[in-house]
Amino acid sequence: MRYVIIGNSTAAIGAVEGIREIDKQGEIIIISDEVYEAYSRPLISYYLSGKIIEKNIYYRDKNFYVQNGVALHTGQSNVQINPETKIVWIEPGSEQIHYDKLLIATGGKPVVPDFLNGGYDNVFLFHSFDDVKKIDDFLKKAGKRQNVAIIGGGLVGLKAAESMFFRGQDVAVVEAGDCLLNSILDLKAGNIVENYLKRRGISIFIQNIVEEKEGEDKLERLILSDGTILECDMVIAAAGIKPNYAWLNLKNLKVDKGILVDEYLQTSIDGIYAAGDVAQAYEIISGEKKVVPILPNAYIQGRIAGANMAGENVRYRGSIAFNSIPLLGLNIVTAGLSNCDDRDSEIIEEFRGEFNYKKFILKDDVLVGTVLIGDIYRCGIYRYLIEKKIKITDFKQSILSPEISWRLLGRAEAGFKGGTY
Amino acid sequence: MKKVYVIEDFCIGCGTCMVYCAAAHSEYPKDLLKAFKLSSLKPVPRLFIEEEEGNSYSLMCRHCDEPLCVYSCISGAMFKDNRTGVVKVDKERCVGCFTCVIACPYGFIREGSENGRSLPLKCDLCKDSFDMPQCVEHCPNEALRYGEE
Repeated sequence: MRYVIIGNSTAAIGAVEGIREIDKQGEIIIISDEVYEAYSRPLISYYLSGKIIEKNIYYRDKNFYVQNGVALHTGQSNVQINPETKIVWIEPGSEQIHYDKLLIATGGKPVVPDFLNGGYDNVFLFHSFDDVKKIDDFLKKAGKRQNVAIIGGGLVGLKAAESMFFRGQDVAVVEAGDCLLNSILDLKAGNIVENYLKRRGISIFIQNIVEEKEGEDKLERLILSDGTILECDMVIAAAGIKPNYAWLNLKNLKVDKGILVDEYLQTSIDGIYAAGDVAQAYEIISGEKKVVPILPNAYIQGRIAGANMAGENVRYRGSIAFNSIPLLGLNIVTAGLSNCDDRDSEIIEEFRGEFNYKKFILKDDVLVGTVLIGDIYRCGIYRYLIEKKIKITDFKQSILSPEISWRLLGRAEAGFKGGTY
Repeated sequence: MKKVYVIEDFCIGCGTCMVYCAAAHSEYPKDLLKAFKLSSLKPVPRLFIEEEEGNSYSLMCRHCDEPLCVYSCISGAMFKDNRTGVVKVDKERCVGCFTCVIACPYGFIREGSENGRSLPLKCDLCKDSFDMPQCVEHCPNEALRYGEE
């Protein structure tokens, strides 16, 4: 049995661990366009801010590949696949490799706004280990406080802002939408985060896009919708991510937003699986297939795909989005449809101070989303209630109670029995 | 694997387990008085006491076979020890993002900190300092049992 995995991040590592639960012998080949052993993508901001040393950015121990019998081919960005003959070429013209099962785990690719394309030498992405190494080099060479403009106020943009702030830079975030983190926060919660970051000294420009730019080799000045002129020494593009599958170009591969996979995480081509940020798999709340690009999901999908590639029949039960993002010491957790403010939803919320907020979004007494800012005590219970679609009619009123208990909530789950849990 | 189980008929929610749990994970694991009086950091328990309709339960990490906290960990710091089955945090690798806190379906991981650094706090069955989990050892009512299911 020979397994080939394209991509070498969280989903790929999950797949190796999933395969090895079942098959200790089969040959595993990983092909990656990056030059590193698997590192944690979300940790690049921690690396840049100096919170972790290089050694700790790696997602697994140094001997992971050897221990798991994985042949790793790094720095390869021209992989070719022939699904009919089940052959891959690591690069054009290279020796052909026959696979029995193939996994596409190539993650996402940053979307770069047009105005940043132009070969500027002070424009950076914030997606890879190399990206933050380049930023680090630039900062070291500059030697003085830099004006940094960050394009995009989502998760990536704000973690970039945080790390640049920790490095002592002057940081401005430009966001086109209604509020910060608008893929997971509504206006009210977004404003809390905005106020907090402003208080700490980060400039935020909401509902703004870059209307004009100045500079030749360097992007020196940005003019925003509201007329603000942003002087910039550096610009970081954090305007979103899209599933990275365009390179595949396989005629029978069904794609939508991402690569469509069935409940066993197999694509429309027999023997080819997909997992992680590149895959569009079942999402629990909507009941539809969605790209849910969060790290836990990448690992779990990878692990299940791996087990199935090794011959198991493990059903993927679907995901919900959830995030925990500490920003400059402020805890923010979200789960489910956390930015939903439909008319037909019921909102239970509470402010316990300027930066302490709880919000629960219910539909027909089923929790569909939550946002907790500040105090996140036992928030996993809420995530679980959302994931299991548990009706909480009986204890809806006590959901804000600080004495939230798993016992109480778990009781509502169909089939829940007392005793051991 | 051996875990801690609560015997509901005996648990009176007295909180003794919490006190010993907090001490066992403090700078003075074997000295209650020093743990609470001399520790530079406030001792924090890893378990939770829940009450419901006059019943109480002392609850803590289940060291799941499919641990969502481990699967969700962004840094690879949370792991299940192959030998003991205990789910543990490698403090050196943890960045304190608290993804494990929202991942745990039971809400059994506390958001905590040590010396200003965010860290998740959870039950480790007292493996670092004791043979017997201290909640079990000191329960005055034998309401906690350490053993196979």
